[in-house]
Amino acid sequence: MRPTRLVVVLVVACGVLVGAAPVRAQQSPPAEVSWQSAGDSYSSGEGVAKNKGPCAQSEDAYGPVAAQTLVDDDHGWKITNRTFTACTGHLVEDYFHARGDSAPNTSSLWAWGREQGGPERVDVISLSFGGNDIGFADVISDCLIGVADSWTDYITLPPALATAGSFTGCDISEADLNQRADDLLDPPNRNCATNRRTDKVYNCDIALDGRRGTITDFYWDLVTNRLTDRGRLYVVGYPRIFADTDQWPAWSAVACAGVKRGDTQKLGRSAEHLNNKLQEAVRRANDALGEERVVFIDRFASYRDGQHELCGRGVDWLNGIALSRGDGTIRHLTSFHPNEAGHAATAVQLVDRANTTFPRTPTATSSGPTWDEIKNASIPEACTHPPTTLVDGRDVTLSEYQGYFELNRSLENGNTGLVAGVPSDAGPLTAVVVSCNAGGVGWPNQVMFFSEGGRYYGSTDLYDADWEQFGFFGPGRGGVTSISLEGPEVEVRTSAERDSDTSCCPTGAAVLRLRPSGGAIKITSITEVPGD
Amino acid sequence: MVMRTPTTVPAVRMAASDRLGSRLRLSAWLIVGLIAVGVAAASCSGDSQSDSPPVATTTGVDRDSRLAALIDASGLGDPSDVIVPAPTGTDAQAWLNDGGAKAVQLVRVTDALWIKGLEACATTAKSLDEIGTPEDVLAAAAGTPDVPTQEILVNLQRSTGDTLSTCSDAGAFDEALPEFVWNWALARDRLKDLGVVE
Repeated sequence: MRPTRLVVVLVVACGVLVGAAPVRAQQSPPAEVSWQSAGDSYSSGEGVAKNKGPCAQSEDAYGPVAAQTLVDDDHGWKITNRTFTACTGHLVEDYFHARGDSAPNTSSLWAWGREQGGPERVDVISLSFGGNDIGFADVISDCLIGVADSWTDYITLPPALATAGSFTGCDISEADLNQRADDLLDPPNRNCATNRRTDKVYNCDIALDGRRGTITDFYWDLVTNRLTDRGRLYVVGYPRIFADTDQWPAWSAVACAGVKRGDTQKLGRSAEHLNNKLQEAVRRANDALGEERVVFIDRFASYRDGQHELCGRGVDWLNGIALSRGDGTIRHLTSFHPNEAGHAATAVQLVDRANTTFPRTPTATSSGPTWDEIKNASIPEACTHPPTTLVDGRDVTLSEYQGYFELNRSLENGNTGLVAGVPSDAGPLTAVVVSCNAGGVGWPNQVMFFSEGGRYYGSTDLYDADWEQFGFFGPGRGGVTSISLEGPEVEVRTSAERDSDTSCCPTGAAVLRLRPSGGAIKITSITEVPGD
Repeated sequence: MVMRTPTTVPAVRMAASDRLGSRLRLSAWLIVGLIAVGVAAASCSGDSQSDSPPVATTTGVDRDSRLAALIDASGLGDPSDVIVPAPTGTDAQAWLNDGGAKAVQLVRVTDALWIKGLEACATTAKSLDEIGTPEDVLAAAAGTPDVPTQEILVNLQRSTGDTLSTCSDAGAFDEALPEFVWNWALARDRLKDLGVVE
């Protein structure tokens, strides 16, 4: 981005973004989250004016901005651990392997994250990789910016070498570039001993953590070996650099940022191809994982939709040819990279997707006692029944006339009846819906909490809430229809009995939030469900 | 269709006769001789920063018609019809008179390519080398704090390199020249509008 336009661009871009893509505020943010912003120069902030260090990092890059936005702007996330490992010039293989040359840092990117205090497993990793793996960075830094050493070289070198592009390797064909992208997913040569960065061999598989594989395998490895059980990997695609020529201003009839129309179209198609292949790799990874753990952020589409590519009708989200602020020379890498406005736009996308895809409820394999541990637990007096030890979730000491007591592993409607991993002062708990009565008709459900080893922690009969504010008498009989973990709290949905209802047939519904603390279960909120 | 550059002597003779009117023929030939010597000296020394680039091969009328013909051959329309937004403030002018002066010199020097054609390749390249490397000139253009002007100058820089690279092939040169000329004329007009060149 040209310096004089920067302020205008940011102001306009912010305005556009607020209007175009409102960020969703979540009522129930996830509990403490660790966040790693990884990737290459399109993630480090290489194109941001004040990037720092050998990795060309900027806190204005989309990863750090998204994390901060989630914390600040009413999204309520608590991101307690942040690492920033994106580094210019890096490839997929550099994520797990230290670069042995004059690399910006001497560790692998993953190890660098650990050195920064990152945990063994991370909740969120955001990244862009692949551009350097197909040599696109070389095309950008050399083909688009590179020029002859002298003007005389243009007329004295042989014709085949004398074109501007041939000085720098710009003569790669579109088909070859696209093939390199294809080979990220389906490399024809497996178990190679090559290094893409130094050997420039693009049809081999990639060095991963302890094996070689495809970029799909890379995503799979990250999810399986580097993310927490609830973790998500956000893969950010690459934008098209140049707008379609029909958008160009009249004074750019011949070229945009010095690049001829034909070349810009060729590069644009290749960028789209790479973006599509990365999206396909994400789909393949999710298929292999059996769940949607990898989320694709379509940077290509967002730039395209607003015509924010160079010479487009929108505000530029990329630098053209950029200069060093120090000596005024051309900074090759900074050129043709997303600027502050571009990163801000991608951060909005990432925030939105993180809010909608990062799980509020851990899987049943999360910490907290299992069903097998609680089904034979000892419990205190409940539903007027004396203390007892359950057998397979039931109080088998009760006669038919005394009523019954039962832990519900699943509810009548098929929903789960328990959630694990509820944070508490006694460690992670498991909450389970209880059905009981003292003879006669069933009572409203209780929710009982167990700690490690299946030890009883506490319970609630759900009455201790301000039901009256909605004209309710209390929960309906046996009325819990779902239970889930929302951040640090358990959310229970239940039927609700209005004052005018007969006990058999409650006509209302409510959502309650439960939070364990000090052996008690506090109902922190109650909300009427409209229309029920 | 690309017009061929006329031979030097008749063109200079015609220009001199136009200016002389009723003056003495002897004085006229003296002036012509001085101009020719000056042009030759400037060309040999590669004085690319001269305000009088080597344009003595055609008359003003011929140059204009040649320029128009080349622009027409580009198929890109008349660059003088292109509406370029006026810059806000004077930052662009300040830059082009200082750190970006090499971009201005690019415009001044490269007119020889379309005035003289192929024969100007070597001297133009040499003149440009004395201004700076291609990257120096690109940096001067790219640093212009006015987006349209920056874009125009950057494109001219790249177009100049592309055109010079065809100098060993007359056919390729003729093919590349119209597009270069369109860029050049647009850049010249912009710099005139900014008051950077006359």
